[in-house]
Amino acid sequence: MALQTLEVSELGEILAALAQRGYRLLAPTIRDGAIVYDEIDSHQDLPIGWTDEQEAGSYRLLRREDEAVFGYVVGPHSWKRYLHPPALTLWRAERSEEQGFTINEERAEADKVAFIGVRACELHAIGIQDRVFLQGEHVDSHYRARRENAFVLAVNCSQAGGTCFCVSMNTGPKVNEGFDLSLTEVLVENRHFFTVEVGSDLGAEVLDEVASREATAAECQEADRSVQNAVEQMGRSLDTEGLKELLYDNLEHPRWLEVADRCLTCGNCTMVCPTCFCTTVEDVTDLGGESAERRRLWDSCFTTEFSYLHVRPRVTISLPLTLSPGGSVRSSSASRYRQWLTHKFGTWFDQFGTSGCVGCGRCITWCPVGIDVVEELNAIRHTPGSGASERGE
Amino acid sequence: MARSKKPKLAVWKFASCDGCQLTLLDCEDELLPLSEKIEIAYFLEATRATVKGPFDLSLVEGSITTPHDVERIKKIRDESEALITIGACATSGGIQALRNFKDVADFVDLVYARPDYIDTLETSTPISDHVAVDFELRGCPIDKGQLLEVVNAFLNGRKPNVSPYSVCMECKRRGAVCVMVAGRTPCLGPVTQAGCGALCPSFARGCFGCFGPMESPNAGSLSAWWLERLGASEEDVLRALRTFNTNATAFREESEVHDV
Amino acid sequence: MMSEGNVKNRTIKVDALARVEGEGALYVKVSGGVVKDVRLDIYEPPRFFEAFLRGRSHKEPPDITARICGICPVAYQISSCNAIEDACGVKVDGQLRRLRRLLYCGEWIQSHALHVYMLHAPDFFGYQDALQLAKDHPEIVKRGLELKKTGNELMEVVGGRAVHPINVRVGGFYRVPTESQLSGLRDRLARALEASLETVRWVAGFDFPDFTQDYEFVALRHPEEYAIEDGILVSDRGLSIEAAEFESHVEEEHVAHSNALHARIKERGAYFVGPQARYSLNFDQLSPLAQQSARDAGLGSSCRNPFMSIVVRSVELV
Repeated sequence: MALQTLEVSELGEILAALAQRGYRLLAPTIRDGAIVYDEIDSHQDLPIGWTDEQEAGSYRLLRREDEAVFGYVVGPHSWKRYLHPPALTLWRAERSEEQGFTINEERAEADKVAFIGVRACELHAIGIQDRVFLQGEHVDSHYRARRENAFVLAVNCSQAGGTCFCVSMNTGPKVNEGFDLSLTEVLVENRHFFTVEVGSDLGAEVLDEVASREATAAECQEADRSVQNAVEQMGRSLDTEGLKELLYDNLEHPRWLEVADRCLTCGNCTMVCPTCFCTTVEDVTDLGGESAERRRLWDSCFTTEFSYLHVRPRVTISLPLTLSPGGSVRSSSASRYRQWLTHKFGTWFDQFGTSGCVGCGRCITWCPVGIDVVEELNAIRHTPGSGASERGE
Repeated sequence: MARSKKPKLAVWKFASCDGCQLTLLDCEDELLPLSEKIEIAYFLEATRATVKGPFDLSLVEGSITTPHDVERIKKIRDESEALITIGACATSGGIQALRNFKDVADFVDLVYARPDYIDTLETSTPISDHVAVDFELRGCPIDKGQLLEVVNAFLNGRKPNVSPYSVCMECKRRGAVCVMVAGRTPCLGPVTQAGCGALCPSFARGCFGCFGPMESPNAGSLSAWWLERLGASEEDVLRALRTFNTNATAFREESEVHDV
Repeated sequence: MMSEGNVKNRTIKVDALARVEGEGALYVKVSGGVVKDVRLDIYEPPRFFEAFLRGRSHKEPPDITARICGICPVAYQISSCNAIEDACGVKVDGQLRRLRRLLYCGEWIQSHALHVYMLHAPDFFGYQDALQLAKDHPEIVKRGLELKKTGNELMEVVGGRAVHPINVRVGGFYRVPTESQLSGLRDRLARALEASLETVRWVAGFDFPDFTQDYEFVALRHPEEYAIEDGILVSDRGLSIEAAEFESHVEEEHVAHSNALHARIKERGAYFVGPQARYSLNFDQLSPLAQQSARDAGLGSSCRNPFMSIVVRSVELV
């Protein structure tokens, strides 16, 4: 299907059509000085006329001079919040006379949800989490249910943020696949419109309900120019040549200690990362020990419990209030930061066949002390201590 | 009275505000079911019944500030199978540990007309400086859910789900917007232990450290950022670190850097 | 409790008073049937708030002074805000003032319910505590716990948490609650009002000794409302001063047996504060419903029987 054109006033009709089909609308909206993803009632809740200014450890919301609907980049939330929720009960158990315990698994059910304004880097991130949760031996049924019930209305970026580097990661700014509908917002003198690309049959059906028309060649050109604008504005660039090998060769690089002086091990980077998927589980009981449940929570490789190994069973169990003997494999901040970065940019290739980073820049913006992965990787590449000679030392 | 087989719980108070003990009484929905499972053997705020020790579980609120209390806590430890300290006073010395940086005699003079009537120690110290402690539950005040979890874990012989990582973990899980990054508001969340559910950031204010230092606090890096990037003064940093957990090692040591 | 001697001549010593907020010991000496000496020893260790507040920022007292008492932190938070705002020449009024009062009401509901049901009432039945009371009268204790919970929920919505709220600041609040958060409390508060009326009826039926004492009552008074957090200090013997004038009319004495200072009105001596003083000085400003419930409970517009403080406190819940 050829590219279509939609007047800006018709976006609301698309959203209404989705709502009519029973989709909850999750979209960018302003809350507490940032653009977050939350449920909206209509297109009027979108951050129309707003933009963001991002740098390492800094985020500002600013008023635009125009009425752009998607004139900003990604904020502190990512879609993993909905596909892979921060807290989830996995099962509940009741003590029973005959069988000891009866375990009831939580049913993997999901509402129909439409993600509005998904960016290219985010679609790549969803693709990465798809590989983690849906491919391979153990499929996460909760993720699958949510994923299958999600409608993706993507948006091509027409500007880039200060911490963006999707061009380096080859993940944007243009959306290529994995969407139902994809919009490009064009704001030129006297004109404000969207070009629409259809990515699925469902997307075509939804678009059919709105009076769109085929885009003219001039409109397509304007749309291309708009995306090109984002390419040129890219806030950061990363040399990805041989990145995995670079990291493997520099496991003892002095930069790890240097970054550890600044790193707070607070876990913010992993929490905002749209691909980080690690979780922990907590088992809780009622007071009488008659029922129990297992809850899954987002975890982070920056916590000590994450790599805690129990060395031997306890001989006597008197007061199991503290962790049993053992210790954290990564007790130093340097080892935790190194683990995160080498996983994201190195071992991820071995594990899943791709990079674990999509260049969205969230970890840079939302690090409370502005630690910048691009800067850290560049430092490892360009400062003494690099080189294969270090390997194995 | 028939001898009860329920575990015996005792609640003790040292220098404190009563808020952490009150948290137990604030468990309105759980208090009666809890009393089915556990015998409240000593809890002056709630009952005049005082059953003799030994106790299966002692919850201790408050810090050690008098010579008499130094002895009293030892006796309580001797009578307690498990001893859990609750709240910032008991786990780090509380706000009254601000005396540790000053001459306590000056403090006594300022507040009391007859300093000779006051019998107090130079310092306010956590219970763990005096006796062995089986578990420390942080907070000023402690969190009700965490208190129930710890008592529950004790009753069921399991490890409580109380994590020593940062407030940021809870803040991001609940989807709050970082007040430091988006609002330039100094926040102690990255160096403070979780447990409150990231309460202050969700009310658009910076964390002020009620739960004390997290497991691997880097207060030096955080305060450098406050000073260089958020426009905080040395005094701001000093004051932020010197509140309810002022005597906790990581906060105390970093505060001394800024005490010029 | 230790008691020596016969009824006419004896000494009563309670080393640690139970079911009170804070810590204290009591010593009473009776000789020839007459009380000769009473000492209340507040041995709660000194924490020196007045000293370490010096040199702190003007923004900090609401958080710091809250830690004086975990049962009534809002009292300290709002008093310290009042003091600093007064010093800065700032007046917080309108919705912010009403929101503060609402937070304070949350604390009152919580603290009064705690006091009535869990601290005070068991004494009238000879129970050791509310848990024993619950064994025989579970519905009553559950009602008290529900009331207390409603107070805590109100504090959580307005203040962020029940013990040491985090939302109070000099000049107002960090964040105001949303309309839906507040309206979500409406049904619970309506039930709590019912429960508080039942509370008054319940405690009015207790057996009280016939005893009155000639106190000088001191409390706040406000021209437009039942004074909780704002007003002037008045007494039934002519005191009428601003809070800032407190030290010129009241002197505090430090006695050997107690860490709590003894306050006296300079011209006259000891005075009486708390629910009974508030009630007796402000009866006319209680809501009509509260006044009616007080009359139904047999109270006049003043109450000088200290044993009946539980009834007065319950009326204040209404």
